[in-house]
Amino acid sequence: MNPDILLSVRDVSMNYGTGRQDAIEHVSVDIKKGEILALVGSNGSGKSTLLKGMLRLMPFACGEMEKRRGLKIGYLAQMHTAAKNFPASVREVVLSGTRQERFSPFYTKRQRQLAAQAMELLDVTALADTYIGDLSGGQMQRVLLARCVAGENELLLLDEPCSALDPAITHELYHVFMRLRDEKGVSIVIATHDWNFVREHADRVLVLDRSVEYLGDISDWHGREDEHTCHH
Amino acid sequence: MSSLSLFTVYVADLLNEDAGVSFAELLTSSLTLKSLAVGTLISLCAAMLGVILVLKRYALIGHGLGEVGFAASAFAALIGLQNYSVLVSIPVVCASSVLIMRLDRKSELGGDVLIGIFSTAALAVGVIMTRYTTGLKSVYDTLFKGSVLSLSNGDVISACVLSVIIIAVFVLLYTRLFAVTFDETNARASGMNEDGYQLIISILTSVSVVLGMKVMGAMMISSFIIFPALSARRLARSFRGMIICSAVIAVVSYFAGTLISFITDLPNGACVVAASLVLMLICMAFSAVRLKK
Repeated sequence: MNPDILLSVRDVSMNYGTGRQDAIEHVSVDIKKGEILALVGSNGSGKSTLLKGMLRLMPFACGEMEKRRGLKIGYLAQMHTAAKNFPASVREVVLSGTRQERFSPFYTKRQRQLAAQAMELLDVTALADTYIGDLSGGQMQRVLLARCVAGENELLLLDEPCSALDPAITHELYHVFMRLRDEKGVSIVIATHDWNFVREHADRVLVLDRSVEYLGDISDWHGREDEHTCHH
Repeated sequence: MSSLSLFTVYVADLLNEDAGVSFAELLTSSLTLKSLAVGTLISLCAAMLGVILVLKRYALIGHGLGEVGFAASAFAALIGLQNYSVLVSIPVVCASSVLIMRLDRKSELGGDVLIGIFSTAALAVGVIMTRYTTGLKSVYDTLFKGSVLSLSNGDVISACVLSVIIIAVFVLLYTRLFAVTFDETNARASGMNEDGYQLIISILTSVSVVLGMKVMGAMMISSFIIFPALSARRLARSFRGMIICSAVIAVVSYFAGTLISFITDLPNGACVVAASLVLMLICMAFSAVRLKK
């Protein structure tokens, strides 16, 4: 595999049960090192399904995936899979994202440092001892992103991470994504409906409508954006 | 003679004026210490695992496994292995636990239905088998009383060793168990062997339930998985805090219940559960008052 490619999906189709219509069909894409790949498409176009397939949370009906050996992947689900009323502090949640190094009831110094850096980056250090049930939606999203960052992941798969956030927080998070890419070389695949983000920050765009409609530089995309946007 | 009657005679003997034994001496007698040691360790196991089971909305599995354990010990008696009922019960209960959790993921029935199927079927099979072995009277003892006073020294040692192993595994896996309990999807996505940890939780719970059956009775141990964790949930605002609170509440409940049982001559398991229920109500009241402030 090309050393600049972290993960490669080849001709993948997926469905939610045998006999049902494919949620995605014959999708092929390479995720390159240090790039932001925007995944756009209307609701039901298969963005979340593709991300789950890359994480092996859902099986492929056909096709194959190759990833770099030992690749560390972080994931942020569209709907929080973590219970908001779970008895946990922000620090505990962020620490849980670090890679487990030994069998112990305590986290190592290195894990604590990584969690502290991630909280700093996401601006949640002041909330470290706060119960997560007391957080706002935007704060919770930043905490969950900090958990992804604390894992020193080389690839982040983010499923509409800013869909329920106000513009100011969204802008802050976009800034964090840029820093992760530019300073740490992290690759980010982000499912989004925000075409402004795609135009301004994404290195490449994958337009999905169950199958790949377009994959490449946004400047070469001549399709209609409104056909690939969330319609509420 | 039932274990309770044996204990009553024992207490009466000890309190006999001629014997000159004080209440303090009763509490430090080897029989009492034996039951307290086993009970405390099993309470700790149940309380710690209860936190995970309650948070994962799987608390009822303790109830189902208790009844499977009852059927397994009835089966042990049927094949003449009544002295080794723990050894027979542990694999049966572990297998049932793993099966329930696996089926829960694959079938559309849902965990509550599966636990209902396993527990009622096991109860029915257990009662039928008991009819042909120790008699139906012993059903009550196995389900509601336990028999800590009839434990041999070997039983006590094996129960203590297994409990210590359960606590040690739980403590060593603490950070991983947190990740799996808080967000199993994310744990799996980040490459953790989430299924493996679920399996470990199933096995630890099964062994705790089998051991707890001996001390408190099959029905009572399941309550002991739920009550301390629910009480702790009202007090704690962190996972670590909830586990510590649950463990403390379980041990306090166990000692309070055992003391009440000694004094009132009521079944130990029921007294312990009643004590943990009272503590839970106190914790709920405390939580309600704190929220109002």
